[in-house]
Amino acid sequence: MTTRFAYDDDSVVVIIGSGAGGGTLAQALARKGIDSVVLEAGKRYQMNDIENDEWEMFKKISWLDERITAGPRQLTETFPGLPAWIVKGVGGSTIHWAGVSLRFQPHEFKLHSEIGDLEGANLLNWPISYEELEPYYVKAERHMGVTGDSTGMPYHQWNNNFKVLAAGAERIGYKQLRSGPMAINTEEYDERGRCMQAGFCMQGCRFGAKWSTMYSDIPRAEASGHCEVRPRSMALKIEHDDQGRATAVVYADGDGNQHRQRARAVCVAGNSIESPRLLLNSHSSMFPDGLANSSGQVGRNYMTHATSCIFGVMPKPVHMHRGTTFAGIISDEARLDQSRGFAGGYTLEVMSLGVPFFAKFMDPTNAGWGRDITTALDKYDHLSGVWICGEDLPMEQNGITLHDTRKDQHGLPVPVVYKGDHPNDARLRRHGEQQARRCYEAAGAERIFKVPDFPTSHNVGTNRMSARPEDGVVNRWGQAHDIDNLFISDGSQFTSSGAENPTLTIVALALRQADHIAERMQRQEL
Amino acid sequence: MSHSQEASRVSRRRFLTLSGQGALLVGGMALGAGGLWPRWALAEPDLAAGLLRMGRDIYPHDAIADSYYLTPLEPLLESDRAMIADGLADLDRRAHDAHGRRYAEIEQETDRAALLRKIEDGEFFQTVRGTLVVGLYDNPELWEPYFGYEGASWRQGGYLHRGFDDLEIDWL
Repeated sequence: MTTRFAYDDDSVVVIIGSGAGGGTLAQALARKGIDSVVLEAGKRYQMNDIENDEWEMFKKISWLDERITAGPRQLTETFPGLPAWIVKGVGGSTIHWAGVSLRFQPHEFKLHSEIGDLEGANLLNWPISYEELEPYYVKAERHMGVTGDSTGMPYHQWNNNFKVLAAGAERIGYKQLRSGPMAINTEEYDERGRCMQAGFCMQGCRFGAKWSTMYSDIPRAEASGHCEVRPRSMALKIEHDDQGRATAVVYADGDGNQHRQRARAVCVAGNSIESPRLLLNSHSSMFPDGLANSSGQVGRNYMTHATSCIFGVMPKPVHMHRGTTFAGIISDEARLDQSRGFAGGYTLEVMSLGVPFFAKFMDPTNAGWGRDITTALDKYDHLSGVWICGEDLPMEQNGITLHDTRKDQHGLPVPVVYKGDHPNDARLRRHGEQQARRCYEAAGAERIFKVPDFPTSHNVGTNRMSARPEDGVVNRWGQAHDIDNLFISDGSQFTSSGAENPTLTIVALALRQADHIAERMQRQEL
Repeated sequence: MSHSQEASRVSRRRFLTLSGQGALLVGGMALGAGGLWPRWALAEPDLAAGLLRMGRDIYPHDAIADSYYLTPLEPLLESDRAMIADGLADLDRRAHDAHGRRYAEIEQETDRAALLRKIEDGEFFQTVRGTLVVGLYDNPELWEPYFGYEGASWRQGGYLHRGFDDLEIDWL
């Protein structure tokens, strides 16, 4: 039975977004008997909407509302209207994510202390330590079904793509080669089946072997009677009273009708572009620069990971499309070691694309046509690919702003997504590209080439955590420094990007935040 | 023989000549089997020939038949007819200046590619390319035969028992 809450019910927590942050939070609160209304901008999808088809799924689930790519980077030219590759739908980007579930390393929570000031970088330590988050990493791993110690599930069998990369990596001396941890079941776990090595992880897992709030957290939260999910509900503005406490969220439903949902607390989890955008759009006479923005840091410090992608043409068919897309991780370069010429580290992660996306992404610049492209495509089945996921330093000027004149279908200013490299990012990227090339050379590749950046799926940092209110937007619990009952529950609260994919850390933070919210409610503080 | 059949044979001969791949064409596409030319190709063989030549120069795969290029490009002649006609006319002017003949009649691929390089930043070129990068490579008929890409797998139970880890690295 579907639970419904009244618009004027001010006892509910309103959660904006249903992905890794919002979906996890909704279920964690529901388990504690705390009622929530989840406002999700996108539609609800069923398992049979998930197809093994790159373009069809891209068109079906992607967030394609108008956005403007900006900044000194190739993406500004190649994807001027698509800075980010994320999902609009119930389940958010957990439908699309690849499943890599690495924890941040202890030093990554205090990079500023480790390396000191770096010109041009807006470095800051997280207000929490690895040790504080560690129990929640374990909870998150059990919650999501991450292969490895927390669940006892074995890592995936190595697929062909990883075998090739690993053969090269071992020859250049790398030791930390693993096909996990992945939040993709290798055996039945949590009422979901095992990985069938279908490929297409990023088009949604048709078998449900990959954790996604779409079919894990959201249905359970709804079944509990403590959560109502409202799909096709675009949050427009968070309202507050004259004490400066959040009181309600105004949103537009699928027909464009506006509603006002009253709230006991508001948790924002719309990913690192929409979350700051909503805060900025919620400006008022009391908060003329946007909600929770006394620090001026809302929308700033946008990080995407310093990434690159290298492919090798191997002597024999690899069939990289067969099997789990990203199940192969090399962590030797993830350490902090400034003797390499850059601060921060990176992981090397095996990756594959199908023919349609490989053709589109191999060189999306205007010059990306002709025999250079087609001779690689003619060898498609001989390809092996690796993606570099590196620490991206926060810079104040990288961020989300509102366009002066352009409005979206709801009449809201369109977000401008500005990003450039710090010199450190560029050095890390070059090092990663060189090492990836060395791997493929050692593996006997006949040709090696770089594929330019894709629209980014790892978007973090635009409402960052800080110990002091003047340095960031939220405190150690994700609670806004300025507004007591306003929380940030997604990757935008990251203080740094780490060298790891963000989802596991988003989930760990959401589980921790749920405990915190429940405790404060019990103490009548919220 | 009807007029349209006549036209189709003429056009077909044109294409065979232009693309220099007669043998592949006959084997590879439905041209011979009933003369299934797109209607605009019948009416405007020069535009069709130019667009096909251009498509084959942008994404040259010698083993892929013309029909796989033509089918996705055909709708452009209705949706963006003026842009295509003007773009090809411009290309022909450039071809005449450089080689004394129409673009599609230049023999060397490198010569044609050099002309295309000069217009690659324009809307006309990028429209044709953007159409083809999806229309050509998102065609499941081509995936396995030409690229060794097997595509959708969930109906067959994924690749778990179909070779996801079958590679023997025996070349090192």
